[in-house]
Amino acid sequence: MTERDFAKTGINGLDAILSGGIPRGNLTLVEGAVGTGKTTLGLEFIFRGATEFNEPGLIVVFEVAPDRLIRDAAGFGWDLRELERQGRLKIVFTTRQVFEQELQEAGSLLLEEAGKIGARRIFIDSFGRRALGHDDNNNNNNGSRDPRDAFHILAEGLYRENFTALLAHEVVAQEEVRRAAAVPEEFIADTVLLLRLEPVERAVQRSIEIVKSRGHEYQMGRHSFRIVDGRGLEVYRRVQAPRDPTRELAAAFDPTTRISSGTPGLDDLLSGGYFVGSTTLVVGISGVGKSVMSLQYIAEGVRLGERSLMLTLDEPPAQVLRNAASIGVDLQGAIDRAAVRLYYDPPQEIEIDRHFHRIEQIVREFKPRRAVIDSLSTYGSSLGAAGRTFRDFFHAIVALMKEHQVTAIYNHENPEMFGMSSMMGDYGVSSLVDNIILLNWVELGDVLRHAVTVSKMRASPTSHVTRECEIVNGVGMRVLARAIPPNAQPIPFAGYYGLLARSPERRPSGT
Amino acid sequence: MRKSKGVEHVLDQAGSRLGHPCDVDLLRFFRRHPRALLTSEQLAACVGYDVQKVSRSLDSLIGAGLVTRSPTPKSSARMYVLTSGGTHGGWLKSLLEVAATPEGRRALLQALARRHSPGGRPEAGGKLGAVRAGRSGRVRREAT
Repeated sequence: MTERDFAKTGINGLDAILSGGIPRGNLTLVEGAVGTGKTTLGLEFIFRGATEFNEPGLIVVFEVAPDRLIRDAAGFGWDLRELERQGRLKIVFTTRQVFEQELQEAGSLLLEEAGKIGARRIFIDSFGRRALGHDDNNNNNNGSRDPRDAFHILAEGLYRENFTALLAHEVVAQEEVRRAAAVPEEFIADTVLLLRLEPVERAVQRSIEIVKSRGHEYQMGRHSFRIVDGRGLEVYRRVQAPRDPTRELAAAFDPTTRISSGTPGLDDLLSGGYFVGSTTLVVGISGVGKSVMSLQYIAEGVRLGERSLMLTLDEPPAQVLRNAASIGVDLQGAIDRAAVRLYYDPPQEIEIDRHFHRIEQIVREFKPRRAVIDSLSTYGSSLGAAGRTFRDFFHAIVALMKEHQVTAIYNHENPEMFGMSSMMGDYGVSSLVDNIILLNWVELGDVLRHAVTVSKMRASPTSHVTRECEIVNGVGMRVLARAIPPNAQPIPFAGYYGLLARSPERRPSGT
Repeated sequence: MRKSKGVEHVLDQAGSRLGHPCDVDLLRFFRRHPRALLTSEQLAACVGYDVQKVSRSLDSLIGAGLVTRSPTPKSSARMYVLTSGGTHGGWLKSLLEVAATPEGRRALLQALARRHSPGGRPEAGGKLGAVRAGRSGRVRREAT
């Protein structure tokens, strides 16, 4: 099918999951319970068609008075009255009974009205199961005509005029009840969009699913969407949905260039720096210096003229700016100069599809070379470590950064104060990362001192040496030089107790 | 006081084009549903008057150029479209604005009743006599 064979909805994100739009002439059922957004979707389909694609439209309503519809549309910035004045839209109030009769008549008044403005799209709001002569248990109450036949006749009327038609269809809210009953309309319609309000903990999130769509490919599964004042619907592709298969190939893979960490002394442990496009996990307990290391990474990018993205869930922007200032980094200045983009999304009730969509937008538009994600553990606590969502999100964001050759640092809080029994705890994504840096406390005397170890570095020699580092107020972090003479003989493991527990003690000589 | 003056002014401008509460209620309905495809029974049920009253009012409104009706019903339903009122647009707009609220509608119907009672005063039985009479024969059943 060519692009011309599709009627683009113009709804932000919807055409992408429909792989281009709705095939022209398709009859689309927009199903959903009360309050799921069927009418708004239908209105936007008609409004965008008339204003962006030069396709006049007809809206047929049975219950909502047209003046209410016009008022509600105005809240999204859609001036339906003006479109009516321009002859690009007609809103007709009628009854279902009259509508069904009209579609069966060759000389229908309704279709005559549509013809006057050359309507290409029609939105019918709405049909319920009862309206088609059957109740919620699929019993035929019509007495004369089978509901499937009734809908078939209605569909034929719409096909005759070659409308791209959207028909809002009320369904019961409970999924199990809905699925238990056969829905004959779904068999007849060409495209079925199912809108849901899904409880997530104590919140509710909207989702849209393309149940079927004849004549083309589409992205399956439940995608999130929002209804945004002043804009309309915004559909966010399911974070797990496969992206364009060519994107990994499209990424300009650079296997040799390294970029500096910005922490003095750390590049020595990293064999010169991170590989471009690599994924690095910085693991450590709260307060051990992960954010400081990240800020210095960003500051180094600014110094070198490389754009950086700082994505924070843990700390709001004002706090991040203050932290940066405390180590002498003018982050606000860098943001003002468009060298840094700071994106904060509070972790409470995070909608992961929307969140990822926003990150994707920033990466495509801002084109950062560096990115810091602070922190992975907060995503984990928001999304839950048990399900697949966290892992799928992490997969998606790693793939996104690699596609755009962004060298990304992911901070991860490990709850253990001394030593680590597991780097990622329940999250189990360390196999996806290229580099792992461990930040630890080391208790010496009555002082906690910072220690850094590069425990994994793909495609690079790794010394696994633990080095002390310090954080100086107003200056930042630096890795201290190893104060052991180069020709000193290392003490063998046999000379220690407690090596794996990271609390080694020298074995008294002779034992 | 100001509102009743406004009502009187609107009715003065409307002149003989409005004679019955049903005229006002039909215009109110068409304001909310400017393009309606309905049978006469359905329209009567929507506005709450009997079919004969609605039919008479429609003839009057169509004659005054305020509403158009599809001329040849191929089915039992007809398309009704509210017009801008042409040269009379000014008063129609004012009337619809006044009639949009329950208070405004009541005031209009009362004023209309006063005008059509002998001596221009409300008849015994109250100002809403005409309204009650108008609604007494309302049809509530859907067309079959």
